[in-house]
Amino acid sequence: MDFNLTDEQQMLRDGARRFFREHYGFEQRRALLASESGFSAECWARYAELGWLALGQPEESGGWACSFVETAILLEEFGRALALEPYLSSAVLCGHILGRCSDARAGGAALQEMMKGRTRLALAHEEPGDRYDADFPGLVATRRGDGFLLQGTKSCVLDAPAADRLIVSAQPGGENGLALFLVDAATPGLRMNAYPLVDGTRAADIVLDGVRVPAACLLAGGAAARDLLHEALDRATLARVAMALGAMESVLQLTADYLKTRVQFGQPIGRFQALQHRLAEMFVEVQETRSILCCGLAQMGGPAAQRSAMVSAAKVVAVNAARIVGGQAIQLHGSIAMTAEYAAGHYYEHLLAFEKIHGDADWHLDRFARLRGTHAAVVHA
Amino acid sequence: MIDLLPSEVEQQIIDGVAGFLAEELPLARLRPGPDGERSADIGISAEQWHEIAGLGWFGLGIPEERGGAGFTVVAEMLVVREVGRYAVSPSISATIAAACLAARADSELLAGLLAGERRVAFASRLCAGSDEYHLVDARGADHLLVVDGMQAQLYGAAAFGEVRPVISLDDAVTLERARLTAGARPLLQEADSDIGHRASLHNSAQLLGVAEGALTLSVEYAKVREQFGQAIGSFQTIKHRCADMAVMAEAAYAQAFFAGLSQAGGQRDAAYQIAAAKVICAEAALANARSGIQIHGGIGFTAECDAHVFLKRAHLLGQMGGERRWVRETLLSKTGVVA
Amino acid sequence: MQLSCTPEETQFREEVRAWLRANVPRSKRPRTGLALRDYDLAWQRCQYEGGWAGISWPREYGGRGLSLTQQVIWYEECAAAHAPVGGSTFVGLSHAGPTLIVRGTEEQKRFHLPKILQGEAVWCQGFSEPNAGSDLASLKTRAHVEGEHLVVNGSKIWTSYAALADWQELLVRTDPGAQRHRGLTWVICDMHAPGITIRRIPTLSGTGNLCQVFYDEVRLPLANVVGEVNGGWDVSMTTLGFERGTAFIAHQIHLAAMLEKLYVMAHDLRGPDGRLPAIEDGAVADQLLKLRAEVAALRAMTYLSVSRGARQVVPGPEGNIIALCYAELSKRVYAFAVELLGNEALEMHDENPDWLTDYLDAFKNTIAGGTSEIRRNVIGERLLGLPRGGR
Repeated sequence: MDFNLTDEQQMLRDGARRFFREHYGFEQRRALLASESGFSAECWARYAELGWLALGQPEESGGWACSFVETAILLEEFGRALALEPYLSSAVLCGHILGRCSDARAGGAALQEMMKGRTRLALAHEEPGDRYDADFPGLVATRRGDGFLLQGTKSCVLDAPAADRLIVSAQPGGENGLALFLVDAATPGLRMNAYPLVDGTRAADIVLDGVRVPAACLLAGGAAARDLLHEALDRATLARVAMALGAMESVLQLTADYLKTRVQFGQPIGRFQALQHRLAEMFVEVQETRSILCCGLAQMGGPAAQRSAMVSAAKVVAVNAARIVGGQAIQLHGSIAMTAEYAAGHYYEHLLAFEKIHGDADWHLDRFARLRGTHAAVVHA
Repeated sequence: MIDLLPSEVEQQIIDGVAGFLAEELPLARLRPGPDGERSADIGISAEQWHEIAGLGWFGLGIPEERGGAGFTVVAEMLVVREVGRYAVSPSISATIAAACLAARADSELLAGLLAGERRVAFASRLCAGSDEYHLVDARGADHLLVVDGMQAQLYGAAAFGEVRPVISLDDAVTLERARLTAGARPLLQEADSDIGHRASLHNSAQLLGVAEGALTLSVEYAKVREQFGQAIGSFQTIKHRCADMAVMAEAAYAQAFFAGLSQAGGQRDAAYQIAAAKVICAEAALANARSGIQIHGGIGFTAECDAHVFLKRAHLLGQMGGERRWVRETLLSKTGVVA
Repeated sequence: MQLSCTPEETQFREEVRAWLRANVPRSKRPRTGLALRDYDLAWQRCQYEGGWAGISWPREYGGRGLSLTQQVIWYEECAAAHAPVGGSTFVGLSHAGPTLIVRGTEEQKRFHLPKILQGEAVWCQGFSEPNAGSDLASLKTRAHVEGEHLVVNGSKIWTSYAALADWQELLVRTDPGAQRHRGLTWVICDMHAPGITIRRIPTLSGTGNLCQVFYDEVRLPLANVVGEVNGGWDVSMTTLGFERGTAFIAHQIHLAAMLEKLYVMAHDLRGPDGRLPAIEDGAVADQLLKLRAEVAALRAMTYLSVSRGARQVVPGPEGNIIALCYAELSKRVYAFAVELLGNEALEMHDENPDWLTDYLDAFKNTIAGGTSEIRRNVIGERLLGLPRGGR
């Protein structure tokens, strides 16, 4: 495995970093947070222009063919800037599902629209009372005429308020399986209750009450649908690890700069040993996260069990690192980090949300143990 | 009325015990001699045992009409805290607990125990359901005290067979493996858990002594050891490590004696407090012992420095209690207390 | 050592319990704004009318003059009754008032103390500045004497509840030539005086009670100075002594009550595997039992500090130990709550209680009133006798 970036990858990274430096200053971001949509439609249009929405999509569909490494590189820059646009939901999570279902008529068209920046999507799969297990949705899809009728509830659908289309996981009526549907958010019977998350990004609880969906909007069913969903979620989870890594590196740098400039007791507080050592610990955590991210990226194309295990490992390591880096960043800054007018607190809140999205550390530890056969070993003993 | 600080009388007890140990069984006895070997007589000699009996240590918590001093388990804890601090034989705790058991059972054994004529050591079961035990510092012991599932039993030494010495992690005590003979009957056995609780409190008090001993050792070293032109204790990371050790020791002290007072006062939540004390004191001893080695740097790794003594004693005491399941069940039970 | 309950103490506990059951506010406390001020003052007034105001204050100043033990009983029963803890009346009751009692003039005491007790005044603290946090002695807000007044210019930051306050304990530099802690004055500042501007600082948790205060030629009567002009450092040490001492007993006991709620939650909520209750998960049970042991120890340490308080009037450096313990433990308890909640911990709620808001707020516990790093310095130097300086 070569850990060095290719020229193209470096260009992508440098370009993205420059873009965010110019368009995503702290005050601009705060204004976006307070706005109704919670993100920038102009930036979204730019993402389309820059081809970022097409990352990882097959060339035949008009995509930018590349490995998942490019996505991780880009998400790291998103994390560094704490960008608020619903890139992950549209381009990574739903984009992957659409990319694999582009033979389904509705899927292909939606993918094109998404890459051009004309439509945004969100994945609705978690339901109230679930604890991250998405395999057996309670929301039911029954055949009705030449289409389907969807009935049920989805909770904490990330980026739903910004989406005009949703990919909804449902249980095909009568069978104990899983199917994925593409649903227009404006369909009658679909109601959204939107709210901000702890980091200011948006989500919604969604009720689907007799929502009619044409047959062409069935994206996938059966075992294939389940595997696809797992694959998409694994990609989204690892992408979020990359984003968290960027956020951690950024807040580490912020903290290091603060320690050099903040003067108390007649000297920069970075001279105090206790703080120096704390910063060093943060640095080590960031390096560990980068390493495990590389491990995860290396498994992305591999067999599902290995891929999922490594993604879970990456999530667990990253959560642990995020707590240390985020928490210490606040402690080392002192009171100023408690305010919303300074970036440190925002990084913390992002990392806090990161912990909980697509499975917390406990859930991933459990999954890792199951996939690695640890549980089985205990049973045998 | 809440007072967790020793009264004048209690302070006298502490000073008396500490004074005796500093003189007769100082930590220095555990250091290797000029030949690089440890001296053979690091344990409590027969004469010293008699002196200790004469000083009344074994009967502190026994009612006066039975020949004791009429104090409570708190006074016993003050004694064994020093025993922990000086890494002296846990058999002192075993004998005190056995004396209490004998007093409650109105047994003739009591007189011999109080007079220092009979020595008791701990027998610690290897695991639940096993008949194998670790005998801790039991050479020359007349009786063995088993505390199993928080219930105490006193056996004659002959009840344990197939005795074979093993190399002890904590080599300040001898360690042997033995088998409790099938059908062996205890000489004394308690119906409730009073002695079991007492033994746990003794264990926590010794762990507290270890935690405090490690702290004192480290702070003294940090004040005198110089590097980079100044005492290492002026460097913040060392200073803060010492501060964290002080916090651990203070938490352990407060909880151990609060639990002791709760037991002595028959408080409803005494068991809960005792379980909490075990967790806190075990952690304090281990954490402080580990930090102590780190603060001593290279020399902390050697047997010439006392730091390792605390680490090993922390492990021994932590394992010996044998109440792990009871602690877990108690702390997870509904009787968590606020007021 | 002893742990006993005299018949008087038992009776006292029963009295307290009965009164609290009948009088503790039923409505939830607002998180911020004038509604919060009204709520806190109303509760203070209720306590005053019930004869419970100023439980640790001397009787001659309108307090109950209760023993330390009785104060602990009061706080324990408050926690059990879920009475509001802390809030906008905290500064007045816990350190401004006690500072005046020890250092104030008769006029100052007669004017201010009854107002604090009767729930008619809210106080805030003006000590920290943007460039003087841990290093308080480097503060720069200036004041010069003009006739019978002090004229103040400068600014203070991290002032909790300034926007709701009537009075402020203000530390200013009156002798610009003097270095560091010399030349400082502790003065009572009227928060409605002309020249004062208050800016709310939005915080991590969104509760927004932190403020920055600006002073532009603010005139304060010299009669408001507590202690001597240029003798303010001394007075502020008294204030901080109270802040770091017994003032936090209520918070410590409240934390135990919070953990017990989490105990119940661990049985009710589903655990990481999504099927069994969280308590069945080994890791959750481990964490819970450890936290319970630590919270028990914190309570024992409270009793230990009460024992010390009974033997010495001025809190010693040991107070830093329990303050450090409380601060770090409180963060761990709330972190446990957030873990227990799983993905529900993404949503914040406007109302009290909200675990997520409390969790974010708890970050200030290791920062405010003395950072954990400073506390460790004090423990190392003043308690253990380690040398100062170095790096």
